Amino acid sequence: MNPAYAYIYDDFLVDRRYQEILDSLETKLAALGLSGRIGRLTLFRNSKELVEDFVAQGVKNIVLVGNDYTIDKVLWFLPDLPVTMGYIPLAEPWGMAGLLNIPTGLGACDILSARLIESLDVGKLDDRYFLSEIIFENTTATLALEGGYKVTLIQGGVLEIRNLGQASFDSAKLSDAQDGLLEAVITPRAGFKSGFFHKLRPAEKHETRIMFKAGSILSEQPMEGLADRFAISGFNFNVSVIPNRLKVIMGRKLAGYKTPNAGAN
Amino acid sequence: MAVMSLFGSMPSVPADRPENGSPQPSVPIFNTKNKNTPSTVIAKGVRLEGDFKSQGDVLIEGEVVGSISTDSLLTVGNDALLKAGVQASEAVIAGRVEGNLNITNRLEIKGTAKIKGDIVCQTVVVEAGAVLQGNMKSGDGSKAEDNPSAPVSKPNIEQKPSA
Repeated sequence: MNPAYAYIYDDFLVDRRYQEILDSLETKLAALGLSGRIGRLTLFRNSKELVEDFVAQGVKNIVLVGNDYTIDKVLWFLPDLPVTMGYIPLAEPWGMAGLLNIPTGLGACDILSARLIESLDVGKLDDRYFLSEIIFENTTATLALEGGYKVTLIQGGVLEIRNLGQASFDSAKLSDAQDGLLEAVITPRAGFKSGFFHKLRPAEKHETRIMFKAGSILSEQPMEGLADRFAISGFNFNVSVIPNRLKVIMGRKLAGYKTPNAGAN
Repeated sequence: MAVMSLFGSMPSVPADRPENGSPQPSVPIFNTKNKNTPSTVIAKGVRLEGDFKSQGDVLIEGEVVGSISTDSLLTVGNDALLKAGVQASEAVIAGRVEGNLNITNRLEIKGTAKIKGDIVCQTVVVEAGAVLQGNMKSGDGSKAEDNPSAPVSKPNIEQKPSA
């Protein structure tokens, strides 16, 4: 057993249909010399205490086994701990795996073995961390950003604040989570401009994109949205980015990543 | 702020069931390459108010009220409305601008542009049809801006036929 690794199994993995793949997973991890302690998330078990116990025992790598919800269950405290996060996605939704370039299923074990570790920025929405993005589907909110300017949706639309990118829907849209910035993407409400041919134009044509470090989302109407996959609601939110806050074992370098000496002569 | 978890997270199918003892190879599910686009875009339907500064290219298709400054290229689209002072390295203007433009290098004014304000730039290209109201300094004359008493030079304008 490798004392530096601990595996956090999500509670849905107790289902019998996952037994076979978990057996294969443990066999493969043992073959790679990566088998470690196993902790299981349950409804009445505090995930933070579980992970902190592992850290107190000397664990350096916390590998989350499950799906994107498994990440959400620990991300609210994980950036505060001196650990590296790994991810083995065994079931949908697994959009985060695409953003992190991690194959689904047993292929993720090879990524753990390769140990390409990247430090990623983490977003913060009030007192909650988020890794991928925040999204408000239908809002007229104003974004007040550092530097003293405001961005307003004239007739409403979708407001996204991306750190690593969008993993919520059919395809991923990657942002650079190593630039120390968040990306605000605003898409005005559909039908803002009428016309059949207008609708055939790519959506990117109508996207507002602004990079920023900190700001506030302000609305006179109550807003409901998602931070990663957690539901949020309220009138005002403070948003910021914490650079290089979370170490993650990834599949390969991010598309937007440049080595420190790239281009230097 | 109320924060609550989303339920219904029970997944559908395991990722890759081992078949005959040999797991299927799996691959990343998304193509994650970035596109080469301006670093800041203000699209139609969005209003920016205040003092905006950027170091990258900026594309404006919506409304801006205040001031806008970039060390790179500023593009103002056909339907854009700027009630703002503009400072940029280069600029392409096709929409309406109400405010002074201070362009360090090249300014291109499209035939659809309507500019109400003074212009300072190094080189200017103006398409037929553009509407300009205000003073213009270009070429070496643009460097006289620190001396208010200096005479306004004759604009160095390249006339370009409209498309």
